[in-house]
Amino acid sequence: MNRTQHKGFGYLFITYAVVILVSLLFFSPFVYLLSTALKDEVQLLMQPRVFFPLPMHFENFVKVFQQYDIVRYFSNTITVAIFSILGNLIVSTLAGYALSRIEYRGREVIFILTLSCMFIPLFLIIIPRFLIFKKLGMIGTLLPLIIPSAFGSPFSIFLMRQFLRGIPMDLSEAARIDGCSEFGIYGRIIMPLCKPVIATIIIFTAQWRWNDFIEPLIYLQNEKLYTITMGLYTVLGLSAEDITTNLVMTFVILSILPIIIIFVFAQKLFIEGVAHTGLKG
Amino acid sequence: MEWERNILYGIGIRRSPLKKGKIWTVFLFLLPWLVSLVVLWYGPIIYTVVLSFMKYRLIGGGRFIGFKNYINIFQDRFFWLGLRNTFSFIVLYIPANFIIGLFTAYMLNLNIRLKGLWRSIIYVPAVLPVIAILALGKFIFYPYGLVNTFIEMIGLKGPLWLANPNLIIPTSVILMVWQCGTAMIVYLGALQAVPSQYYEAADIDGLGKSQQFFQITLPLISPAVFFRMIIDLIFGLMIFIPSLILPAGNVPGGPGNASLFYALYLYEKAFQRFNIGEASTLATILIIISFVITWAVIKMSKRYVYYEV
Repeated sequence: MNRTQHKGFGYLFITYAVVILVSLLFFSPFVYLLSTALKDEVQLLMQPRVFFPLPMHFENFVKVFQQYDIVRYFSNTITVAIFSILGNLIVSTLAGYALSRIEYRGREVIFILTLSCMFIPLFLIIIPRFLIFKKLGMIGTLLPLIIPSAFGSPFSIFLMRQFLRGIPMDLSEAARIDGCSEFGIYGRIIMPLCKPVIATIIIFTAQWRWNDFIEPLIYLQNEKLYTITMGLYTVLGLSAEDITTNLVMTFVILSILPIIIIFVFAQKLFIEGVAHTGLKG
Repeated sequence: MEWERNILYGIGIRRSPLKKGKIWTVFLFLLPWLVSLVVLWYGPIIYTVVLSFMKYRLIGGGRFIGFKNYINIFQDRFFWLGLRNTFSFIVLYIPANFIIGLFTAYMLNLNIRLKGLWRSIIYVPAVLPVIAILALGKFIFYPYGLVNTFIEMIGLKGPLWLANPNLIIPTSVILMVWQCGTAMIVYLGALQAVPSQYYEAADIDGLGKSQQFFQITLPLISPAVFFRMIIDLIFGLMIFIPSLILPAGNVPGGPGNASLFYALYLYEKAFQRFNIGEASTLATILIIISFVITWAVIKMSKRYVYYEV
C-alpha cells in the first residue's frame, strides 16, 4: 500500500495535520483530566484556567482514599470480576466446544439462539431477573452481578466457537480412535491449544465486569456492596460542581487505571476480539 | 495412501466411538449454558411479556388485568416523550458514530507513521467505563470547562451545554461518539480487507479519490457498516446513563425532561416506583422493536459468522 509515495509535500502535510488534530480532539480530555486531578482548591478556581498546575498536588490521590471508600469499591469489583471470569471460562469453553466440535442435530439452532443473545438489550430481561434474584433472597449480595456472567456469555461462546473451528478436526478424530473420551479430548487436547482465546475471554470479562454500571445500579442497594462504577456515581452525586472536582477527577483516574493498564499490555487481544465479533464484549 | 485414510478416517471407525452416549456427552457439555439460556435469557423475555399483562406487587405477586397497562402507557405523555427523546438521540448518534468511526478508520488506513499510537489514542475511550467517560465529559462541558475555554479562545461565547434543554441530547451524542473506537476497529478491519488491486485498477482508469471511495470502498465495506448500524440502533434504544449523569444539578432526565429517555423512564418505573407491570409493558414494546432488528441480523448471519480478519 504505497499509494501515497508519489504524493507531494502538501498532501503529507495535510494528512498529518488532520491525524494530529483528530488525535488531539480524542486525547485532550485526558490531559485535562490529569491536570485537574493534580490541582488544589485554589488552582481549581483560578481564572484564566491553568493547564499545568504548579505545584502539582499528588496528595489528591491519598485524599481520595481517605475521603471515599475506594478500597471497598475496588475489592467488590474484583470479587465480582474473579468469580465471573472463573464461571464464564468453564461454561463458555464447554458450550463453545459443543457448538463447534461435536456434530448433532439442533446444533445450529442452539448457536443461532446464542448468537441472538448478543442483540438482546438488557432491559428486556432485567425485570424478571430482578424478580428471580429477589425471590432467591440474593438482593443485598453481590450474587446477582456474578451469576448471570458466571453462567456464560454469548460473546465468549461465540469467540470460543470461532477459534475452535480453526483447529483441525483430525486432531479429535485421532484421539477418539485412541479411545479418548470427549471430555478427555476437551481437557487434554483442545483446551491447551486455546490459550490465546482464553486470554481474550478473561480480559473481556474483566473489562465488562469492571465497566458495568446498569446492573450494579439496579441490584445494589447497600453502599457496602458498591462496585467502582457505583462508587463513582455516588461521588458524582455528592460533589457540588467545581469545589471538589479535583478529587472527583482523581477518582475517575483511579477507576480507569486498571483498564488502562490491561489495555496497554493486551491491546492486541482487545482489538482482535472486537475485529472478530464487531462488538465490545 | 488411500488405504491409510480409509483405515484412519473410514466411515465405520469414525462413527462407532461417538454413537454411544453421545447425546449425554453433548448434553453435559451444554447443560450449564442451556440452563442460562432458559433461565436468564429467553425465559425472562417471555416472562416480561407475561408481566406486561399483569398488575404485579413485589409482595403478594401478580394478577392479570388484560391490556390495561398498555392503555395506561399509550395515554402516558412521558412514554411518548421518552420515545421522542430516544429517537432524537438515535437520529443524531447513528450518523455521527458512522461518520466519525469511518473517518478515523480511513485515516488510520492511510500510509502514515506511528499508526499504533494514533489507533490507541482513538480506541482507548471505547474501553473505559461509560460512567467515567460521562464524569469527565460533564466536567469538560461545564460552563467554564475545556470546551467553552476553546470556544472563548476564538472569541465566541460558549453555551450552557448541560442546562440547555436543546443541547443536552447533542452533548450526550458527542460524548457517546467519543467512544466510537469499537466501530472504528470494525471499519478498519473492513477497509484492510479491500484488495488493493481494485484501487490500482481504478487509478489506471483515472477515477478520483472520492469516486473510488463511493464506488469501491463503501460498497465493499457495507456488510460491516450494516452490522454496526444495527448494533448502534440497539445501543441507542437502550440509552439512559447520560441522562443520569450529565444534566446540570444532577436531575435525572433534565433539564426539564429534555433527556428523559425511554430507558430512563423504564428504569424509574421498574426499580424506583416498582410498577413492574407498566415497566414490563414498556419493555415489551422495546422487544417488538428489537425483534425486528434481530431478525434482520439473523438474515445476514451467514455473512457475519464467516467474518474473518
